[in-house]
Amino acid sequence: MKEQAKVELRTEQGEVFEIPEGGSLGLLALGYTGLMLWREKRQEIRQERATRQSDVDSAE
Amino acid sequence: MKKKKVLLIGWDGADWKYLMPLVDKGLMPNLKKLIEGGSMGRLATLDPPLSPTLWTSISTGKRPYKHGIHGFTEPDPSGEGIRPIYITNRKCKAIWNILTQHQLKTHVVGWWPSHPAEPINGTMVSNLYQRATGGLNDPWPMLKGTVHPAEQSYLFAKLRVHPHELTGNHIQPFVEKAEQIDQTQDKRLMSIAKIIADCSSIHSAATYIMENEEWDFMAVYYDAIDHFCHGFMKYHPPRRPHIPMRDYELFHDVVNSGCRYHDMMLGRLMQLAGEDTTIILISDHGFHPDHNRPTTIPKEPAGPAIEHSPYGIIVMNGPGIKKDSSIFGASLLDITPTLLSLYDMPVAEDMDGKVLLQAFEHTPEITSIKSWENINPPANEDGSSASGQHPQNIEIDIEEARAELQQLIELGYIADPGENSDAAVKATVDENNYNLARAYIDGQKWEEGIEILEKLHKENPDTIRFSIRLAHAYQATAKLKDARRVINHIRDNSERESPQLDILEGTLLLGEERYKKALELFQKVEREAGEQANLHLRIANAYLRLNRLDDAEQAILKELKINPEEASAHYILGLIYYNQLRYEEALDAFFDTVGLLYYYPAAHFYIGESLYFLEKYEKALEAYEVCLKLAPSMNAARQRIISIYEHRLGQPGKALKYKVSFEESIKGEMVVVSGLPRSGTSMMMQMLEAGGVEIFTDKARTADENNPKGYYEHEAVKALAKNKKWLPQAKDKGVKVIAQLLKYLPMNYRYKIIFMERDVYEVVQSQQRMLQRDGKKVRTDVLPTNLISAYQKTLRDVKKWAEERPNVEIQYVRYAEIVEQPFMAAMQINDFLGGQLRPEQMVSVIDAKLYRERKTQTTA
Repeated sequence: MKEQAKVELRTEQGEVFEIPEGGSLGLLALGYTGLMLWREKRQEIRQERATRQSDVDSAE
Repeated sequence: MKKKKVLLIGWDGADWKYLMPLVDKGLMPNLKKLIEGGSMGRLATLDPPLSPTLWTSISTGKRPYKHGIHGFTEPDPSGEGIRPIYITNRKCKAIWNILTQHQLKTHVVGWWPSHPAEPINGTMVSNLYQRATGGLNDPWPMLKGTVHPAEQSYLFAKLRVHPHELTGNHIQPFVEKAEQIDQTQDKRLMSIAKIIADCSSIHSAATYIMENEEWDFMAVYYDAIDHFCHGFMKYHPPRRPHIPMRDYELFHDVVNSGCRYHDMMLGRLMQLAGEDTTIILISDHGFHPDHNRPTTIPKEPAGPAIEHSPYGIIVMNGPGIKKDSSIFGASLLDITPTLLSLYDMPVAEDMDGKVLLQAFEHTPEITSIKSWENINPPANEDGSSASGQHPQNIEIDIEEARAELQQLIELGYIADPGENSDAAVKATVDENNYNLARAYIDGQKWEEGIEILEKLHKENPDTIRFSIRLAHAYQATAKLKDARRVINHIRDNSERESPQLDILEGTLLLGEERYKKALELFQKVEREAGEQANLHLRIANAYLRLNRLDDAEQAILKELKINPEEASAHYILGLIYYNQLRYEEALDAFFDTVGLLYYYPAAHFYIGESLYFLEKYEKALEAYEVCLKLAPSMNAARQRIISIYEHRLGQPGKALKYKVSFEESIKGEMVVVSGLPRSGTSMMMQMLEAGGVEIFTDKARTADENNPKGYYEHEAVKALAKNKKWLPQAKDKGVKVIAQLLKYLPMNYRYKIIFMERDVYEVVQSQQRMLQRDGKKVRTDVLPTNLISAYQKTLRDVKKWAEERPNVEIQYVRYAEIVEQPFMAAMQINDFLGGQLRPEQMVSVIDAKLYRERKTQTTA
């Protein structure tokens, strides 16, 4: 797949759209761009969660 | 000059009836934008309404008996059971092949059927791409041949969406109270997830291509709306009594939400396509969202197709396309011809559709070629076909075919064929042949369709739907005895009464001209079974035949209230108005007919007739021309065109080519002896026989006191109004046809008519004497003036009819003159018939003593 520049989604009002972990129909409707952004975000959030959990486990 | 770009989007099952309310409420803003900036209309489907068949007709412009795709499965050539229908079954080029051989960059995503993907000049992603199996973390292999070029397979595999990937954020817009559903018991949420995932995968692949590849043509097919409708239209408002309230409350918004999701995806496609692209959005059939939703689905192959409605959607938008405009009479056969025209390529004469000229701001110049199958550029350097079609001998991996078949079973497209592969093969062959028969009939190729149905009926006498279809076909082609035989067979083998069978029987009774009995049966069905599809249409037809025009109008208006999109109902309404001489209203109704279903030759003919009687001859000519284009054998239209040019517009030169093609359509010639009953027709038949003319008679009616020398009739002729099959046997012979039946003589034969004239009072007297001799009670003291008036009208009608027929020559012969001056009469007849007869033999059979009821003075 071609390397994509970092894409930022904005609402009609111009605000940055925070991609939720659970995704949305709007993201899927954007096609492969929305799908890939969602998967990246989901991966990012899960990794962060895993890292935090790991820190907590280590602290215990 | 800017290169043309076209985006073709397929939404399977989309229907204006449930889309427009959403558009009007502002809930589908992208579709609204497409409509307001373009042209829209209904798109008539074909029969049988099966997706692989229809989408192939869309992409080829041809009916199924030309393109070869007849069902979901086919027998495996290895002899081992069945396999899914492959794109290799298609016998002709699709639009993407034609564009490929012109080196246009062409991409196709998800088309049905498109597996294995064809090696076109672009990317093809087959219809087996998006189906997920297993859990989210299970392997999800993509079958070989899913993507062309194959080296893109890995990339496209990553673009798919698995249903287990979806979350509540995706499902809740469809089912607001989704959390109330126990998913261990109720699988409907998962089926919604699967549908969303499938169409999102297609959309992901399509948008990737549009963003990252050059393209001139892009076709993308979404089957999700159809799946949403089959699963959930039953819960769509208004709720029907048999739908549980809880289910209605949970699922009533699924179809609308599915449509709104498609609108969101449409917005993205429009954004990627840009302003310079022509976008065509279509569906292959509609879906009933209202009182026409069936309450049960028949348990037979493709049973769910009963939920489909006959009109899908079309919207065209882009450079050169009319804005905020309507398209009438479009069929899904018209898409490929229209696409070819957009690319300035010729339309093939072997295509069954037409270019949708009405959508264009400026009428494009249409060129044509015989067939695109004859245009084959040299193969590519790597040996592959220049058109991107598979080679004839492509090998299909048996194990992969089995895997694909299993997918189709799991997805519910086909029933599990079971262990008995022979039975599965037979069932598949039968089903595909049944679909082929329906396709032939839909294309007005009745004999080809009947031949297949007769074989199916013989081999499967217990399969009622084969029998019913055959009975319909017999009835439509006036083979009434055969229809009666099949209907009796169905009744004998049916365990219970069926309103459908009664309606079929009633339709047959109409064909048998037993109109009152037909009406009684239809009214019985109405009383006992309530509303049935097209019942009021049939009742109206019965009233029309009985000339009860006001009752017919009431009945047809009832039908139109239930089914405003039924083309035949508008046609019948037109006929009612036409018979009432309400030509303007008739015109409106016939225009409504062809606006819904353009391929309706009879409706175009009657548009011509209505315009003719409104004295709008130029417009009438246009309508007759369209009729002839659709039904080249309709000589009645040809005859009218000739008559208009010769007698109305004073342009006999323009009639010439029609006269030539009229002559070419003539199958043969015969001598017809006609007149009122008892006007001397039997005597004339004897004269002709004696003179050397072979007579067409079955001698069923033997000589008697009324006609001591015989009747010279044939039983088949009496049913001329409904049965013309005997005509080839009467070619070059003499045949007796009474005056009242002359108008039913078809236009594709030439007739030399010897019309016997006898004083009408003598005729009536002779008939009365005949009835008396037969022992019937007859009043001889009262002159039957009604009968005399009717006969005089018949004689006037015959004269008018004969004058208007280019295939008729008529010689009027007075019965009295034959008796008084037999040789003169015989010479006159001999001259009329070409001078080959033996007049002296003709006069030898005349017996003046048989001229019994003679008037001393003749009166008109």
